[in-house]
Amino acid sequence: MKKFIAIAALASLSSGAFAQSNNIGCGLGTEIMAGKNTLLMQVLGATTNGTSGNQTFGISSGTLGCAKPANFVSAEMQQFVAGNMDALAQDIAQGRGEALETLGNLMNVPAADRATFEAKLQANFADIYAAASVDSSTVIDKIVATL
Amino acid sequence: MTAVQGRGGLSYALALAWLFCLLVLPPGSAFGQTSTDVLWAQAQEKKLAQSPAWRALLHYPKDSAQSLIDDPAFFLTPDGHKNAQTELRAALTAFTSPPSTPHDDAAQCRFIARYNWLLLNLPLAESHFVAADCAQWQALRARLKPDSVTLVFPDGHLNSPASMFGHTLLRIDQPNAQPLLGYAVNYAAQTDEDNGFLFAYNGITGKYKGFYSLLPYPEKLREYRFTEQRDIWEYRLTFTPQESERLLEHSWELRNIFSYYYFFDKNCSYKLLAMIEAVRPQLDLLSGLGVAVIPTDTIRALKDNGLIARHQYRPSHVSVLNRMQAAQSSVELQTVKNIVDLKFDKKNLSLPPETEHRRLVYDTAAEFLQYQLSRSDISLEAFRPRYLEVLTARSQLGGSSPDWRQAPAEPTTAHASHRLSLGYVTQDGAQAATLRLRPAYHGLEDRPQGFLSGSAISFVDLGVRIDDSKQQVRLDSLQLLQIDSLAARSTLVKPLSWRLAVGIQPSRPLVYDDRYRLALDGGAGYTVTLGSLYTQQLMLYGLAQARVASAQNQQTNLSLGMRLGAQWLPTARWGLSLIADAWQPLRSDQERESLVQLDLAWYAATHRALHLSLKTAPGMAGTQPQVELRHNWFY
Repeated sequence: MKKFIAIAALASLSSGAFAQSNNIGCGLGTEIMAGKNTLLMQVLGATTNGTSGNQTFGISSGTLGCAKPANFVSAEMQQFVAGNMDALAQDIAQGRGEALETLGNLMNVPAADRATFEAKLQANFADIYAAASVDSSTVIDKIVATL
Repeated sequence: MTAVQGRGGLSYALALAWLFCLLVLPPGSAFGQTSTDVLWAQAQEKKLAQSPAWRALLHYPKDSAQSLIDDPAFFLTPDGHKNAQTELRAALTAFTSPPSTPHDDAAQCRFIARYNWLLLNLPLAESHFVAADCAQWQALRARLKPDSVTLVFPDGHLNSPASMFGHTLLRIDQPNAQPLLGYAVNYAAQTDEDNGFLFAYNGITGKYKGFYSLLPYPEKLREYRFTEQRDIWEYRLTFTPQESERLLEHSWELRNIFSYYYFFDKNCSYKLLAMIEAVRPQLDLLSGLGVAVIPTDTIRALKDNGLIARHQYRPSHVSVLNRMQAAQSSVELQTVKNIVDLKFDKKNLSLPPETEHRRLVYDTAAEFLQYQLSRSDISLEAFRPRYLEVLTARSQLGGSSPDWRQAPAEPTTAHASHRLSLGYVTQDGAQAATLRLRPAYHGLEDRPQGFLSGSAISFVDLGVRIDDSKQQVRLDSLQLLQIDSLAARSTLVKPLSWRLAVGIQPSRPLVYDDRYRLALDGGAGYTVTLGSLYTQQLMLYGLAQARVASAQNQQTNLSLGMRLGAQWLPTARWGLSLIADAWQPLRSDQERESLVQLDLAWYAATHRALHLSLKTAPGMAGTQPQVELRHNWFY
């Protein structure tokens, strides 16, 4: 994990464009952020397929700056949960969805146990997401504890 | 014996020398020849420098003697962008030299795609190349586990037809492709420019540097699905795991490498084609592309070359929201609003009795909150507790929600970008033939399949009339740019509709007396749809308009006006539209204007349509109604 972060940081620094203005964050809502798309920008700018912004060549920018969960889980899972907070919360509450499926894959849940896995998480939603300030490390620890 | 011994001594010495050479020089080297010479000889014999694969690795299009890459750092020699031969020789020298430290900066690691390609195609390379320990590259490869590649096409966004051209990027997936764990390879202009005019000007004239970036795919999803509310189409390419790995190697070579970005031609789509050619050099995707490279055209090109295996649709939040709204009653939607606005006493919340409907109310509320946050309609602080409360209530209802990702018509099923029209017009007893040419892209009157409903953008629509009796060819009109964004309003989503048109047209509508004016029209208003919100079969709209137009004596006329319009699409084959404009000039000595246009379209085939249109200017003295029958071809 450390190695990956170091590599990502290196790659980002060397690109000279380590603009973390739209940092993915670790909490709810940071996944969705309003852009600076003014109408004029839309009319003239978007005509043209060009987008501005972050040009990093990083492989784990999603977890930079997020707290580590107490349980040992893969760097990939940490990055996934941090980078998909809103979608995962929505999928768990609704008992279906791509983020929930991906979580099951990352946790190696066998196909036969998927339905139980999903139902269990849904039943424990209020515990997993206990406060509005919940962050990705807490979500991971609560999910691990639920199972 | 001595002689023999002597000879034996000599041969012994030769043998020793030979053994020495064997130890010091790699096999295959003759005296005085460097590894580069040896490999170069073999490379020349195999004509590697001229091979499509080597040229594609350096981003030389098949029909060009020059690379598309502007950054000197992409090449080992100063003229590597125009001399594939010297670049190959330099690569051989670099790869046979001990790597510089740290190894990650060595040519062996920086140009990993070229290194591996030469290893594969130059039999002697294996024994001459000096390997480096490319730790960063190996870490990236281990993390991404490239197995397949998907082309990602974010469609135009709601209320911004200008974005209809879309964007394209690539996604590298692991085995058992799980999109949310994939990585996006994106090419974009790098700028922090906020001024739309400057952005467009600089972008068109190549003032920005374009860079490739590699980011976790959810970050790109966030940008397109949330921030811009664009639907996304994903096209799985027919790349093998080996080809997918080669794409990653090539992306690695391109990191931090710039090329000047040109919005119309050297844009994201063009650059991605260059990357695909680098992986499959036998393809020729770049030659003969027009002055504008439109993403959907590139997707068609990939499809025609058998590169697309299948596609998948990923709706934006607003698309999901619109589908959910269409499935609910107005009472239920009001409940959604009450929940989101916190305008309720929990006990008095009028939730529908059926669990299924209740779930949908909360699902819609969750989707709506995300939509509001994406538009900054609510703050992050307000969003968090509400989102959590809605989802908690939803989770307590149990069960799984339906999937709202049903795909509309796929973009490549749409008509092609260029349009040619031939028509026959009759007005006041006289006849004329009309010829129109429009290089891009889509008008409201054109077959809507595959386009964002109510959105249209046309570039440079030129029309001429060939007068039958007077044997005369004259300009009908030259519409430089026309954008229509008719976005339907609903209980939860309330976009503004708008239009913009600039072009040269007759000074008085329907009067062809060689007097023309340059006019700029802008309008804003509301659009509603009757019937299903999602299919938008019947659309009604009203816009308040303003016009600046040139007049005689170098004057400028200002007018205010009103547009009322209706469009009915009863089946996939038929379309009927009515547009009524009225203009009131600000100067009293100017004439009031009006124009009513009725158009009946028969979409005979994907790329062919027949239109019967009537235009009249009621109340304008001396104008005559005109009827036109027109055949459109898209190519």
